[in-house]
Amino acid sequence: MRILNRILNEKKGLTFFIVIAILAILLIAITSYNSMLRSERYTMYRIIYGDDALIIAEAGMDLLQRIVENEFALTGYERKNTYFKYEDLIKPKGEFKTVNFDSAKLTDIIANSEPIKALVEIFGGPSIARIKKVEVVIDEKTVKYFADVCGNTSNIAPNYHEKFGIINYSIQVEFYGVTKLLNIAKQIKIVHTLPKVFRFFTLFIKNIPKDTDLNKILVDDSGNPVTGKPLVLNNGDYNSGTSLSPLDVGMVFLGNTPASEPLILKLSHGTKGVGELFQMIESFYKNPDYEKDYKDSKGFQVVNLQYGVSSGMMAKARAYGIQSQQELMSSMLKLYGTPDNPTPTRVLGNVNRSYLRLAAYQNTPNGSTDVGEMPSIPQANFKTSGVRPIMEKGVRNPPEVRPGEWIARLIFPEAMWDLEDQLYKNYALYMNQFISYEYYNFGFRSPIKDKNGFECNPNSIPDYDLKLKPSGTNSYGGSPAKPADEEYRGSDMRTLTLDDKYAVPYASYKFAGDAEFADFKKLFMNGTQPDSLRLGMMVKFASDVKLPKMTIDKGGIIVCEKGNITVSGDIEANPMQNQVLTLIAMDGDIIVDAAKVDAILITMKEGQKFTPRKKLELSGGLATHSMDFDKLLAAGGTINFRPPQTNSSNTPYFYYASIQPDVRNWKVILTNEQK
Amino acid sequence: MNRNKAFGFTLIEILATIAILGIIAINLLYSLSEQNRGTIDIVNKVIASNYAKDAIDYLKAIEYSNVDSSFNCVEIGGKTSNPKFKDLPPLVDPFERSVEIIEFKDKPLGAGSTQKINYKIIKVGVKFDKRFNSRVTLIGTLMVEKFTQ
Repeated sequence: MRILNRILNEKKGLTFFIVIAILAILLIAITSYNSMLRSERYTMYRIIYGDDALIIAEAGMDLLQRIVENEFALTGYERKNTYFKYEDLIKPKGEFKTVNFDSAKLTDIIANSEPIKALVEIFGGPSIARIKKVEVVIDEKTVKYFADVCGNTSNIAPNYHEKFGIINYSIQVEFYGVTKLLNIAKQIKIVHTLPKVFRFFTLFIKNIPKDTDLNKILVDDSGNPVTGKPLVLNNGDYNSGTSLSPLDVGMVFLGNTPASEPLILKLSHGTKGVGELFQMIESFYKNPDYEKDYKDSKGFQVVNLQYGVSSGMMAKARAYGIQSQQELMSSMLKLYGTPDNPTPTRVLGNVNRSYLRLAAYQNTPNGSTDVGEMPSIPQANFKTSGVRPIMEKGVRNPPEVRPGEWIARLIFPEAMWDLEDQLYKNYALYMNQFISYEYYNFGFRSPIKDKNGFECNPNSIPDYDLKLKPSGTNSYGGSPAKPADEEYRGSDMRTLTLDDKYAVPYASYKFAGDAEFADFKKLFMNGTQPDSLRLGMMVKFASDVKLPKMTIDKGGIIVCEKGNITVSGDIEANPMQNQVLTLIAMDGDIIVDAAKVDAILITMKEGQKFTPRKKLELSGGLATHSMDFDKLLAAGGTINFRPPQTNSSNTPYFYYASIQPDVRNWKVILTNEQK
Repeated sequence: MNRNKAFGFTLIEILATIAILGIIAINLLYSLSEQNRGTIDIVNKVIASNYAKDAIDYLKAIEYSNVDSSFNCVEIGGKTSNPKFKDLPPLVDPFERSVEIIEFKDKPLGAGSTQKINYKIIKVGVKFDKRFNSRVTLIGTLMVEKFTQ
């Protein structure tokens, strides 16, 4: 008590300070409490601001994806890229690198777009919210190649341009100092819209109906019927003086059913009524009784197997320098005519199930005098036009079997003829290279280049003898091309089809059907010329569509998903533009009710049968699962191959990048960072 | 006297203490009141925000062509509701939600752009404080249809 009194006595007046101290503690506690509440409020506001930023980011993301997809769609054909280089997407394995889209341009277009500006105004204006940064990237680490993942089609050169990976979109939005980053990853596929092989064919019929007599359908190219009305195939001008490019030649495939049964085919060529009947039967191939059989006739035996081989022909094929002992399932036969009558017809066929004859027939209009059955036809009935196909000028009659050198002379420039002994060998090697160079499968045609970047052009290969070595030291920058007989052994072109999983989703615009054709016109036929089609992309009609008269100023692809495409007016390619239009009926017919159509027509689904309604006048190509030959014989027609459709500069146009719509593949990553 | 003087409080001390306590109490009460109101406000904002997002998410899930002005409405919590939003959580008092669809057709994507775009802005406002009539959460988003050149 005394001590306390002492303290109190000594600290007299301290009470005030004690009270103040207690109050100060209270003040601190209250301030802390306030601060805590404020902090909590701040945090909650940040959450709200973050959510608001996210809403803007989502809207921006929506717009961004539309812009990028629009860029893919609109530039797929034109390649007028704004935000990336389309060619970068198409680069093959080994060359493909991470594709960074132009972030500055994308940020600018998104941030300053009218919709986003309007949206930002709702949130209080640009002083409160803004798009900070937009990025789109396809990381090469995420990219895989279909050829690696799905496996290669047997004997079809894999296409290492087709790939899939992840396209990553990201948008940063700042809202009241809170920055939100929204990432969306989606799968992207970069694939060929349709097997480009179709573009190399004048006529591709997957399945010739049983008992169809093809000898009735092809006679002369002047349209004179021999039996029924002919379908004349004009496959191009190679070796004619107007074209030196073998790529300017269409091919024909006629798939036989069953494969084991022979298929006999006549084709016409040239302008002088020369017909050809292709045969690859051993007995006729080297008919020892030829002179007896055809004594006094003006006919001739033509054996010109440039590149056609079959299992039954291997002995002879080996004589021509083809060394493979393996049974061939298919081959490519390239035929070249006389200098006066170039025969650019190329027939790609599976010679195990078909054979081809080569002969001439009389250029008369009344049908009974053609020599379609030359090996067995009575001598009296064998008449020819006197024009000899596949012969040199001044050649003896009957013609002799042509060696490979002779063929090589037709192909190689004269300056290269000095290597007499090696000519055919080199030719054969060249053909192997050539097939790689020009392969007519699913592959992307990219020129073979040497290590110096020199393009392997058939007509301009310096030191080609040195370069075309069959060893592993091929100077073209990689392992040598496979020999043709290995390359195509076992490949069955009848397996070729149009996968609707590929063909349909890539349509840039979708229309319900003919009822929306006005919308189509508004978008693609809106020029000063009402008939002018400026498509430049792939569009889809869900049901029947009727195409009016058109002039193709910009080509593209029109797909009808379910229903018929009726061509009711002439479709003509503008000769100044050389554009190619492709019409695809996925599950219906293409009804040609026009006098002239410049387009590639494709009806490849199982069961589809192309039915000519009237005389077919087609410039482009026709690929169909089957053909109504009775209707064809009644109608006849001409199919002219159009070289622009194989033009390598057109090739990238047919590649499309498809962003997969499946939202289940989305991966959303949110990060929240404070400024 | 000395003892009392030594242990007592002066009037001034007491008055000063009362004054300080008063000031602190006023601040405290004011602060608590403000914080309380702020907390209520922020909670209401969150709720309002959720009400707005409900409508936006709902509308964004609908096909573009079907989102039109028929969705425009004002719903008052506990009183009126738009049957088109019947699948959404019902509004409670005092929240009030207004929805407005603003459609733009063939508008340039941006200044000087040749690309045209169809889009719709969904504007949703939610009021939650009738007394002040200013506690409004306003949210908008975008639906983009297609581009034309």
